[in-house]
Amino acid sequence: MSARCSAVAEPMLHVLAWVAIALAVANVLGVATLIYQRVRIRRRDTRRDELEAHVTPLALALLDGKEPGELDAGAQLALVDVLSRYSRLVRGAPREHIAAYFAGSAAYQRALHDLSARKRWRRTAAAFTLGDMAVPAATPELRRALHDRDREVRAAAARSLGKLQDVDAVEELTEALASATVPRLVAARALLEIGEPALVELLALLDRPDAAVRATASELVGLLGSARDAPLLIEHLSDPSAAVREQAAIALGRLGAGAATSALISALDDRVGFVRAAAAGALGAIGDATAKPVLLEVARSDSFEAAHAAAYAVLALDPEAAARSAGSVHLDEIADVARVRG
Amino acid sequence: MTTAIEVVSGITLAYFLLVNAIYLGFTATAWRRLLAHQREAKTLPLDEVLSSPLTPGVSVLVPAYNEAAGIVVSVRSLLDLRYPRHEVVVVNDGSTDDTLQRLIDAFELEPVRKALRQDVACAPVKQVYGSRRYPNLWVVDKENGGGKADAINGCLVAASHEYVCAIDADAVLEPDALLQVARPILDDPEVVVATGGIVRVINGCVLRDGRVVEVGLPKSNLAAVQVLEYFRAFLVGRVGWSSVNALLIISGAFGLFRRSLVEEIGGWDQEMIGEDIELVVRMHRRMHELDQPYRIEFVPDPVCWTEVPETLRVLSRQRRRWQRGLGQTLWVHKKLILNPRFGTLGLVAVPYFLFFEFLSPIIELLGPPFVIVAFLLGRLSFTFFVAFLVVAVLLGFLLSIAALALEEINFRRHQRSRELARLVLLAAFENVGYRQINAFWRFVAYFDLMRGRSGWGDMQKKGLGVPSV
Amino acid sequence: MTDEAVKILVCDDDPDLRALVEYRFKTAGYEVLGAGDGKTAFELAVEHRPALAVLDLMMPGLNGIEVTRQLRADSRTERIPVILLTSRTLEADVTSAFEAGADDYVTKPFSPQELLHRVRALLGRR
Repeated sequence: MSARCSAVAEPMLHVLAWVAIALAVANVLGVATLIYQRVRIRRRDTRRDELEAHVTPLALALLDGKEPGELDAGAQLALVDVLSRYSRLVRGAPREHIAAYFAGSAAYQRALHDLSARKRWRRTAAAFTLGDMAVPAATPELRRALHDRDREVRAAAARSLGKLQDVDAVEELTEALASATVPRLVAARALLEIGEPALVELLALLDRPDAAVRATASELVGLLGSARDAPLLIEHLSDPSAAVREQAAIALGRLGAGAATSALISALDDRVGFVRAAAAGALGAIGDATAKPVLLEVARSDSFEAAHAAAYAVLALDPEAAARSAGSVHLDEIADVARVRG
Repeated sequence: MTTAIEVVSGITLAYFLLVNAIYLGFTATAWRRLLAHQREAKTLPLDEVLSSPLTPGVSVLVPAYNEAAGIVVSVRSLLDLRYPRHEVVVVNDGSTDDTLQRLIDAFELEPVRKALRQDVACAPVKQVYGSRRYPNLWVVDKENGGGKADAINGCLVAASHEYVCAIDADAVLEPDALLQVARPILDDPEVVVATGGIVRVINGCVLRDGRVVEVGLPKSNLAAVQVLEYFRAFLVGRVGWSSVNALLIISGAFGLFRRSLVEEIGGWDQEMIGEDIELVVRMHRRMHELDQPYRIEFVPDPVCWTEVPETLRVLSRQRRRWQRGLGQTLWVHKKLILNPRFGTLGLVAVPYFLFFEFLSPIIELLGPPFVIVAFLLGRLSFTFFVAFLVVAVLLGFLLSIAALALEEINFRRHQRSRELARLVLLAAFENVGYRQINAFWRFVAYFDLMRGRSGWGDMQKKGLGVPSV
Repeated sequence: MTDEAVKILVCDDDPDLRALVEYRFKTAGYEVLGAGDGKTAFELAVEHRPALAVLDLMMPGLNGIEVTRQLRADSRTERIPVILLTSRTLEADVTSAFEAGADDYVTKPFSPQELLHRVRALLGRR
């Protein structure tokens, strides 16, 4: 090789020498960047801490309705940060004061503008911060952002709509939940924050052709609804989809719907194990003692999940009797648990 | 003769070029990903997830063998993890010390005839314990089954939540770690089946009440160079693989899995030395067979702190074990190698781990001395030699610095500038010296495998499968 | 009895929340003892015998329920009323809070004014 390629070796060597030098330089630059970053970030953090210490009393006073007065740009940014954090912790009058402050601020205008920014992270940050700014007028823009092309932006918009408790967004939020265009937990949480006004839409979703939609809607009805919503859920105990039947059962348990007891007892014969388990759990939550004999039977003879849930349901219904139960590993377990828990 | 020299030298050069090029690619990906992640983190409403009744439950699985010294503190800090619904299932895997008694005393445990699942095999369970004061704590006392896999399976059969988080008994999790590692799953529960978090080196850190309160570099240089190694392996390597959904390695020290899938594929495999890698590969395989969309992701923030070996002796045993584990896993799943049916996994990830991880000791160990000797003997052109130095050393060093920069920009755990300086210097040692030592042990592991040796050299640390490149 | 020099212990690992609550209490005339973790909170309670304690539920280390238990178990602090402040809303959490001995339970996001009312109510009762 050395002899054959000497013609190519010379220029190659030059190239390599340059590459080597370039790499060495790059290494030095890399180290220099490290040092520079360290210094820069440290300085930035110190400055930020100082600013925050300065604006914190102003922020606290603002929660009581006292205007902060003139601030320079840096202090304003710090104030926006601090108020956003406080906004997540409080509700009621303080949040209204925060909204009043932001409504007239440049930061708010900028956030609205950034909802149509080109970069995804900017849109996401804007959508997120609008929820903290608590200005109700932002909701139409946020609703539009629910249809952004990026999932993160949609998620941030959904979360903010929940924070703003925008009743008008309920339909779009449930659509987003149903079509999984927004992360499940985020959309669900937003709907939960909006609360009862979302209930009507959710009940309507129980008739959708998509089983996943019906299942999630059932779950949320269980968290938002009341016993009078039980009949619709009871109907869905015979839904063709097992996931829906399961969620309907869980929801009935959460609602504490005594009227559902007999339907749930029938559901203990469902052909799918986790549905039977959910029905058992619901019966335990509702607390109707008439279910006990059937539950004991399930705890003795059914598959693991169902028998386990049934045993714990028995424990919930009648802790004293549970301590004496026997007849299956699950009943042994709850007997000991009852004893240990006192 | 000359041709043989040329060929071997050529292969060596090509290997180093390829490997470093791949890592360069990963570094670029990691750069973008981590920056995006940092921005995302600002919009991460962790507290809001904490209060959601919809957040799925997690069973934290803690296999413990002779962990009397730290088990109580460890379990206490696990019980205090910030997560809305979780339980801690500890397995006392036939310890010969008083691990169990300490748990019983500290948590007021009483025997409970807990019903255990039968679908995953493990060594016989002697007794399960529950606690009045800590209703979400379960301790399973069982016979030793010969390995960590059996121990975790023992936890698995007693777990009741939808997700399971397998950790090492002596690993220290940060309070928000569970929330953070669960985030990809919370965002997309239908699709994400497993996630892994970052593992950092606890040697040199100050602990209080089972939590790390001050981060520091270990005194021992050997341990300190591993800090750098882990940055590259985790921040660069795993972020990279995760981005193409070919993450093969979720550390046994900290991984979150969908319980139903784990049970469906039979749990952790007792026969495997690298049971953590093997489980993930098996999960990938199953999801491909089911032909369902899925993702296994790496999350760079949630931190699990773990102890690394400080002596050559213990480090050598650890790396030999990892290499054996990797080899065994690759062998058992050889069907995946270059198999287009398994997409990026089969065509890229598995072959990578075979050629650039498992087989790399051959070239790393034999190549460089060969090239040096050949050059000194005048058999190799100066050009070639310079090329080799450039690619193997300078580029490698740059990649280490880049990994360090990633850490510095995104996480900045190491506050003291002195430590940063030390890490920069160690980057030199990592490339010339440390890497070769590792290659040696991994080479020795070939003989271990051929002799059919398996099992546990040093029990406590379990295979992270950290790439040694 | 005036509000002067009545001490209230506030414990939360979130410094923002501590700042909010402290401000509300201070402007109402109370003296506030701040703690960032459960262990410190208990120590402060023993040392200063506050008239009331506001504790966050989820804190690393000693959580709010544990601190409440400790306060109830110690004769020096057993009579201190406890309000638990938390983002957790599950029924199980509420039950275990009261079982541990808490007197009231406020969920986040919260109204600082409402918290103040509850504090006054609990203090008025004693």
